[in-house]
Amino acid sequence: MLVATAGSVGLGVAAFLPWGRSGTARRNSFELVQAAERLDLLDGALAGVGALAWFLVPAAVAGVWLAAVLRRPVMAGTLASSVAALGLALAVVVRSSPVRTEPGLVWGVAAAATALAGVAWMVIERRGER
Amino acid sequence: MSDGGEAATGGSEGGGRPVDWDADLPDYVPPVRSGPARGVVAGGVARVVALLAAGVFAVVALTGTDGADTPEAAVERLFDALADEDVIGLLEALAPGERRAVLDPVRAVTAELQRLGVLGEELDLGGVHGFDLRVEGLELASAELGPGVAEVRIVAGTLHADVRPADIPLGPVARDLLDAFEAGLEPTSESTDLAAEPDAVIVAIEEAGGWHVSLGYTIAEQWRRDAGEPLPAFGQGVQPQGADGPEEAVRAMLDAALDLDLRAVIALTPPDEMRALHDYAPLFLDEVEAEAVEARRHTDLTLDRLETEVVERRGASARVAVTGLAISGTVDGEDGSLSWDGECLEWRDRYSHDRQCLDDLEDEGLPRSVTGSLESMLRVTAVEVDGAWYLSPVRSALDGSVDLLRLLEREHVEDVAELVSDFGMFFLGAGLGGFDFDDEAWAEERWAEEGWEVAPDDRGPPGAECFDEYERALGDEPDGAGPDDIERIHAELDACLHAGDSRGWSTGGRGRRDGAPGDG
Repeated sequence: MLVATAGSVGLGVAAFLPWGRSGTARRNSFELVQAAERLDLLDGALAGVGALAWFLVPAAVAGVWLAAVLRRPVMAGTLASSVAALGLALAVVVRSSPVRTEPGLVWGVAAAATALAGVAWMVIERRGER
Repeated sequence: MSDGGEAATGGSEGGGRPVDWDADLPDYVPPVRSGPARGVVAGGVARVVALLAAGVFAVVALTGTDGADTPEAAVERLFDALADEDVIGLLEALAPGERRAVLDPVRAVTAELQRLGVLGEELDLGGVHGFDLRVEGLELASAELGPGVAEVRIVAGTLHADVRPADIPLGPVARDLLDAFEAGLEPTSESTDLAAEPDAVIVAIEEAGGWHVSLGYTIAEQWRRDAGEPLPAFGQGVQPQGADGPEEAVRAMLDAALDLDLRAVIALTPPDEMRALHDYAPLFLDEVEAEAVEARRHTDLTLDRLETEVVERRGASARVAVTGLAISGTVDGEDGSLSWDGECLEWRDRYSHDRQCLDDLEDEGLPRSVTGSLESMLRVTAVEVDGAWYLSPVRSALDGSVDLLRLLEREHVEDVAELVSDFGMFFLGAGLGGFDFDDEAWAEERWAEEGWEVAPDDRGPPGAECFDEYERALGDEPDGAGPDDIERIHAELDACLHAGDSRGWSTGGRGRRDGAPGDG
């Protein structure tokens, strides 16, 4: 649970680092999503919902942390995997856009992968206990 | 309970070792209180605070407004984005309705120009290489023109622009063309006093909860000042009147146009993208409508048939093709008709009757890119705003450009580039203006490089005699001259220009043949 929590918190922090650059202006993940919304670049309902959900990531990360402290592994794992999946999806979208990527995206992907690995470890452990 | 306690009671350690009564006693450690530790409480509070802060962040981010807090801030954002070469920032600084109109077509045009080799593949949002812009000492002042509309004047400020043409992300075709002309590739550096034009204003409007720069309002306001018109009543101009669907919007627009009803035409343009037109139209509508009343006495046009098809739909916009059309009526007392069936255009008036089909044009040697362009001219873009459909003039024009570019292949552009290169001194000198082909110093330098003896001033513009001959040949051709005749004349011009290389003037560096000057 510690690894999943650490990965989620890492992703929460990385989300505020620069993910993309337009000219010399750097934007964090939230600013990029906001710009995409304003410029009507989000095609389809899924992209719209995903963009809205991204703004809830900090709350979800805090939720992972709280669930870990309260020893609620299912809740922590569910939230951590959701946040990580969302982070990876956004990273793919940003990477394939015309925006130049910045190190925040790499840190975000690494943190999301860590969170997913932590969740997988939790699942394996629980199956072993049974 | 503690080491101290044991020592005080005179116990022994290590199996009977005698107690050293002179040794210093350990510090007193108070007993731990029962209940949650202070650290645990602090941690819990921190987590709850983090959760609340994250919630507040989400709410603020999701409900945040689009735009700046003041008109000046909106213009500052624009200049900041310009200085940062921040394309996203530039678009965000524009009014939402206007940026929506240009965004998709500009992306499509960029992609097409990259495909055709005009722009380089390396062009991306990481910055437009070759340009360095800096704005220094920017001071702005604003004044309200009306509710949600404000003019912003530049009181002070300097724009420094460094341009390095060699670094501009051009594609191979454009690069070859520039290389052919050696000119215009030197880095330049210029400073512009942004406050030099005291009458120039930038207009910002309040939209989507924030202030944005509006290109439409800026143009309209500049026109109003030049025309000496009073301020319009903002928000009380032409009321938008959309149609139920994109094809219905096309029909309504044609009906309004044939009825010479400019008010209805304007009402069918998007209220966001063309908000400025809706607001400023009352300044000229009365006069136009009075003229329309007069014109209707002599003109009566009817839309007999209209067939349309939505050929492309993307979100709230649709590209509508006119696949069939028939208009008949009277203009200045003379009857006439015009029809289009998707393949042939037929028109008839008192004096003539003609029919021209795309197949005929292709049979005559016109490439598909030309005949296809006729079809794209009969397409318009409709957009949905608040549930009603309007025809977007900006998007129609830009999408039409995209359609035209899509018809082209790289070899077409290369052919044009070669033509421009051959005829370049005239075309570029007149059209692009950025290359000093008639610049005397440049011409003399070029003359000296080539070792030519005749000064350019004595011979007129380079290649002038060929073009004179070309125009004469074209003028001598009978009206029925076919593509072969035109091709022959072009070939003669080409030969004349190339021969000119050895007669003492250049075709711009391309196609120059070996040989001593004066040989010809």
